[in-house]
Amino acid sequence: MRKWYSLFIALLLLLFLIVMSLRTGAVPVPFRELWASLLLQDSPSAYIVLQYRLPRILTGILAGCGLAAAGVILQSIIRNPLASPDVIGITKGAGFTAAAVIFLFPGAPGYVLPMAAFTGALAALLLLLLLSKRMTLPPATFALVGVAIGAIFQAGIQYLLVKHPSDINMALLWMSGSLWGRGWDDALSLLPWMALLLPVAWIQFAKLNVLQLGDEGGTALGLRMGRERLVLLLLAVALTGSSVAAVGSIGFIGLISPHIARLIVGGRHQWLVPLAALIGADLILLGDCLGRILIIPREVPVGIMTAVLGAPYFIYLLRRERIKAR
Amino acid sequence: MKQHQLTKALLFTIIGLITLILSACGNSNSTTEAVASPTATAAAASPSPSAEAASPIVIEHQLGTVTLDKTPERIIVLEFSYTDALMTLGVQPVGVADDSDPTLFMDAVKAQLGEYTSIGSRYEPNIELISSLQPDLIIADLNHHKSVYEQLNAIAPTLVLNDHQADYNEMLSNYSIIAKAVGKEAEGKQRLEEHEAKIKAAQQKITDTNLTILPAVVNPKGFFAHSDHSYAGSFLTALGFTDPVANEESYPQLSLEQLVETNPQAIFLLPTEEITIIKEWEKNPLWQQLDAVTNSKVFTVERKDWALSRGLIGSEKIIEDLVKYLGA
Amino acid sequence: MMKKIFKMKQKPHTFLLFLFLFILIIVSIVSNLKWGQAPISWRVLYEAVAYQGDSKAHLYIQTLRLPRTLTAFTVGVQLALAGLLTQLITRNPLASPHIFGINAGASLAVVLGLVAFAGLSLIQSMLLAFAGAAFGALLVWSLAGSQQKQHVQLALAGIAVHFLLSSLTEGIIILNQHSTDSMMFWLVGSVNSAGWAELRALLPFTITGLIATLLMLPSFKLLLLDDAVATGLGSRIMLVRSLGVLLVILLAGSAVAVCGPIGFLCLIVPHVARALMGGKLPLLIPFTALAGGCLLVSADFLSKFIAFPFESPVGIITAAIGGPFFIYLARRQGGKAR
Repeated sequence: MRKWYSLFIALLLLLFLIVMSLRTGAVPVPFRELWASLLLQDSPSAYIVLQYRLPRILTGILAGCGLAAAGVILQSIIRNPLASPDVIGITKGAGFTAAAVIFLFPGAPGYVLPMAAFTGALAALLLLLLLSKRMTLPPATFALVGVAIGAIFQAGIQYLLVKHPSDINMALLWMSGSLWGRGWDDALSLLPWMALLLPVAWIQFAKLNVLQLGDEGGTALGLRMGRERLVLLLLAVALTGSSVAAVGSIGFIGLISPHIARLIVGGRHQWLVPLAALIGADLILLGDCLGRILIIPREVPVGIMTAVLGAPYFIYLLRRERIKAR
Repeated sequence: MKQHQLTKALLFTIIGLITLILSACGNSNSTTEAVASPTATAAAASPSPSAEAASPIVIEHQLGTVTLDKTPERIIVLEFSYTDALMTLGVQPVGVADDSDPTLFMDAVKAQLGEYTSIGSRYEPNIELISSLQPDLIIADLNHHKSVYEQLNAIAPTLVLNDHQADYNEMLSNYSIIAKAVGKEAEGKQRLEEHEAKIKAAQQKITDTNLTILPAVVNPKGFFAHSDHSYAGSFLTALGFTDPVANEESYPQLSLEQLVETNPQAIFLLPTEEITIIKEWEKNPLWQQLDAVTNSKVFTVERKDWALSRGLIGSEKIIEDLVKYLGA
Repeated sequence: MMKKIFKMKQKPHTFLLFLFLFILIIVSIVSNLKWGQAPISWRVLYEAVAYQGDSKAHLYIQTLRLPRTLTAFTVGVQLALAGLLTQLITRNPLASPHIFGINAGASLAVVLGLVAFAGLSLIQSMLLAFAGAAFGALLVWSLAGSQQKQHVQLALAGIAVHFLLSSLTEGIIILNQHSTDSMMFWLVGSVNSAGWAELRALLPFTITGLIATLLMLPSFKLLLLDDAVATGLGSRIMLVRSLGVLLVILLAGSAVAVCGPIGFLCLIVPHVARALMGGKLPLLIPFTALAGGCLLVSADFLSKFIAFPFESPVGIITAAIGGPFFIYLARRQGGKAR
């Protein structure tokens, strides 16, 4: 029962945050106007609510769910609570191609950037598979290879940054992750991905449960571990790649949401996947909402806000898990 | 058994949720168009009586065409150079992306600039505020704002110019476009002629244009030359000076060794902070070997005048500085 | 598995290896002095090093290239030693000051300081860097625990903290967009602005660090002992470890303060040194130190030429070399774990 409650509370929190996000910002919208806009009646805030905040919120929710679900999958197949899309280098790969587009092809149309980011994530994955002997390495080693690939991409990003000092800000904004100016086209191009991938991720819960335990258990149950892990890895990369293409490389969500979820419902993935996804969406909305009102008229990018918000909690969680492990 | 039912139930709820979200989005999407169109028609309908007198202004720009039925009055600008342009035309913007820091305007611009609302960073201007100001023209930069062009255009007709990477000549052509957009084409033309005259007059006063001049932004950690591919550099080249760096890169970072090798005959420093790397370099005997130093032609000027304003007023200030320091 | 490496048979060619390293160091230093943006003849090079002449070319060497090369060497020595000590203390072949969050912590502290008080002096920023380095190290240490079997856990916790701290640094940089250029230095390290002043500020720390390492050499041998024996010595081991951590913070923190975060060097060098030299500490420590200096000077030389005539930060080169090496290490570790 507790599990149902926690899902319900997370969903309630999400609804509350959606309402708060719609209501607050540089231009506060009174509830009456908000309601009128949502009912498509004539209202002075119709543009802000329907064209600006709603798609932004939706993009945030979808990306939050995607990153968190990817985090859950990776932590299960790598069997390590510290794995995340950031740590295995996928977001860095996306960041590198995005920076290359920003700096080397400043005239490229706007839709090139997300496509490039997705390609970068795939490139990182290919490298990862190539260098980890198609995932036959032990999971931990696999994670470390990912770390190194991330570091190499990071070096590439830094080279681009240093060589093009005039546009550093644009690239840094993208790389820390920002929801600024995300419109319906962003939300709607992310939606089919998430509508497809999130249920698929959830259906895999039985395999995720087994993989978490170790190869021996899985083989005994007749699972072909190597192949299962490869499929799940692909799933995680697709989730990350599409999210990152929409909002930039927000890293921390994929690391911390699974932790919080595990603390509440334990390690069973039928509960873990949906709860972590909801918590990821909650976190990203909370970060964005605060980021928009802290230093009006400017914004703190959501990636920075989630890092600031999540950091103390993450450290507390890790310490707690360490004490338990003893 | 119970477990099985539970998961089944969960599966259904999730599928239900997704369909709910899907349908909600589908709804809102179709309805947003519905919302957008009446306002658009309303906007088009209301000014039409008054606009009958003047023919609509039609301008091609980087991402499309802007059609203005009447002279815009509530204008929002997203770059410093656009503010500069509006000031020369005597038009006040209602909103400016000033990075929340009014000290970044050059003094001449700030003196003419009236009340305005700051809409935040030039990189991520606050779109909610833009919408609440109810503008009738937005002037945006291609590189920074192309991803939100649709959103800006839904608020008001949006003019997208390639400003951030523009050199002096591109700035001049952008200026004419802006003048046309705010319905002051003739004034703009006249102002451009004045500008040319001012520059000619100033050029007369500068005796020696055969100098190699290097403008450079200096901060505590580095010396960033502005080559002839940057705005200030291209302006100096247009005036007949020579760029000693001559490189594809707009803002290459130079080491002291490179600077001494480049050996410009005059240096204009654009410091970002009070203490910069120059303080270190001055202690080095190599600094004394620079032609610019031996001829005492190292000058400190305002970064906001030379590198941020990038418009007619800014360029006139640059040439004023040049006359002041290099003139006879 | 560390133990196995350390008990490897000592190679008979110790003397030859040292000789070879010395030649390499001299070659890399000389090429760093000889080649750069301005062409300089051998003759001028000789005169300048002998401190004669004050033409431009002489001054390039005396006031720019020489202090820069020496700083690179010193920083290389410090980073390599810090790396070796980290690996000894944690008994983890994947550990390094970089992974320990020292680089990112120091950077964050300095950038915060730059935002809070404009115009920090060199000494002030060094103090801040120390505080940040200590903070980063403590954070990772407390998260990962010091159990020997937690090799991977430590590396991953370190990387997570590294990402966290550097994303905070990036956030500060974004919010101060008009001083971005100078703060980039604290994301990618470089030695190209180092002069005599930087070298002078660094040297006391280098000397203290080296002397302390030499004095503690016998104690460090305790760290190589078996767990069973080591636990018998209990508190003594703890003391040696804590002093070792302080030493790492001293060496790596001062290096970051002067040159910004330079990654991966501290990881690679101890491994290469150990593979060549074997595990005897009296030989291994000096060899690691010298090899570190040699590598950073060579990397700095390369960094002058990847975007000639403009310079690139040396931190990019070390990361580009270090990344693949780290993959190799991780794969070898994985092979052994099976």
